Amino acid sequence: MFLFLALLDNPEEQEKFTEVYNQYRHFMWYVANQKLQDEHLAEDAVQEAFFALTRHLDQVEDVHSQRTRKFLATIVRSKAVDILRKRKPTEELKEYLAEEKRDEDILEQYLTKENYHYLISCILELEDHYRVVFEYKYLYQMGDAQIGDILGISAKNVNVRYFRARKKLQEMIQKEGSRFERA
Amino acid sequence: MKEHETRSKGEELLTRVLEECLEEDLSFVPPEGEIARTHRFSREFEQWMQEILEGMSAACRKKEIRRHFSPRLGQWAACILIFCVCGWLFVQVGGQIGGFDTKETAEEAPASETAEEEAVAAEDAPAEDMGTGSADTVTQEDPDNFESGPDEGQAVKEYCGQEVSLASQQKVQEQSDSVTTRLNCPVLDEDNPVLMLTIGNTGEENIRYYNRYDLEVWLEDAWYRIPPKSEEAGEWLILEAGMAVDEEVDLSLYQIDHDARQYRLVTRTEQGRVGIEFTFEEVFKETMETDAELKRSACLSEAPEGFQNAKAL
Repeated sequence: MFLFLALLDNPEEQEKFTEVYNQYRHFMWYVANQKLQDEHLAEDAVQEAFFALTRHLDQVEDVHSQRTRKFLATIVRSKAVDILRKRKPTEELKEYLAEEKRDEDILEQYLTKENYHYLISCILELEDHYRVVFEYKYLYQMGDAQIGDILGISAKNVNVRYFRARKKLQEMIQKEGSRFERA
Repeated sequence: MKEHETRSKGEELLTRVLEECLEEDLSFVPPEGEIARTHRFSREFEQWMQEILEGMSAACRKKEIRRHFSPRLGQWAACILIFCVCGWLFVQVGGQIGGFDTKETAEEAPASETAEEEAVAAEDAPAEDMGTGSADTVTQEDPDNFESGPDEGQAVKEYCGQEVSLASQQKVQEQSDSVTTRLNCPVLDEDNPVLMLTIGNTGEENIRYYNRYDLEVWLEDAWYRIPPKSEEAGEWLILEAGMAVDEEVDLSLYQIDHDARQYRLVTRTEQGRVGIEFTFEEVFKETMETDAELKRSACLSEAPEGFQNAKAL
């Protein structure tokens, strides 16, 4: 643990970390508990999130900003999802089986202003382990290695998960679009 | 940054959508203070985070020392120190051989003893503050704190079959600039030994308080600390600005006889000590009766003669 702590190598960073802890720990717990519906597991997720934060404190520029709040929400949610996935390994298997049938990545074609409302409902429905990868990548401009470090997986696996997420979103928009057309 | 610049329109749109979705999700999260009221973190969690925060400051301190302290400078400093000590020894030994007045040395001796005593006292004070000091240690840090200045012989007293030591601070306020304490009831029933202590942070900054409280009793002329039946180590907890916390205090963990006139619970905080007084029902009733009696007799002595005669009849 102290190896990680040594990364916060100056008093300013240490102060920032303490401030984040004091200001957001209950918020983070709430976000985790929404996912896990278990107070103790939610605390574990918060611990894991703070642990990860010691290595990525550079993402926090202003402790009181909305961006920081969102970033912490993403971290703690991804940790909560990790805990959930560890408890349900069968889902992982299903995911690998689904991976067998490969389609073309044409998500770009669906990302249009006309599909804005579909997109919102699809993102809200998208599984969290995919959505957090999008958030890390697009909202916080983090690289695969950095994301992998937080999620505890390799950069290559982050890439795999990212492409699965794209494919899943593509399928969801297609489905949503055809439902809308039928209606 | 480059990646951001080279993003396609589709990806820009996706970013906006993700942002909007996250905002929508978070709009349902109640404010921090409200969550804090409904959820209290487990002791393990608080302990773990405390370790992290303390570990961080230790790691930082080490790094700072390493940054500012060059080994070569250290070697030089050590050499100079050895040189000075040798010089001082040489002067001392030379002086004695040369027949210096021994009285001078004899006069120096008590002075150095006092200095040593002062150093020991200074070391004791913070240890007591952190809750690790023994109950018997009486540190009179500030003599102004004593209302009537009890003698040194009274530092330890016999109370309820145990020794109680003079409280290290006699004058303790009920509230400081940012901390205030309240009890659920200032007059307690002897049959109910549990009381609820509320600690409130009225300031704008977070504070830390120690979750083991000192129970003190007023005996004749001063406050004395009653040691708990078994000393348990407490911990420093954080109390956020504008928040209050209820702590249960079980008086059955102390040897008390309910006969003393006044008791008080003292809470240690970073800002100093705050304490709140209470008493027990029987004692309170007696006190009230005595007070009423005194008032009545005072009224009678001040009343006109005719009224007194009528009262006598």
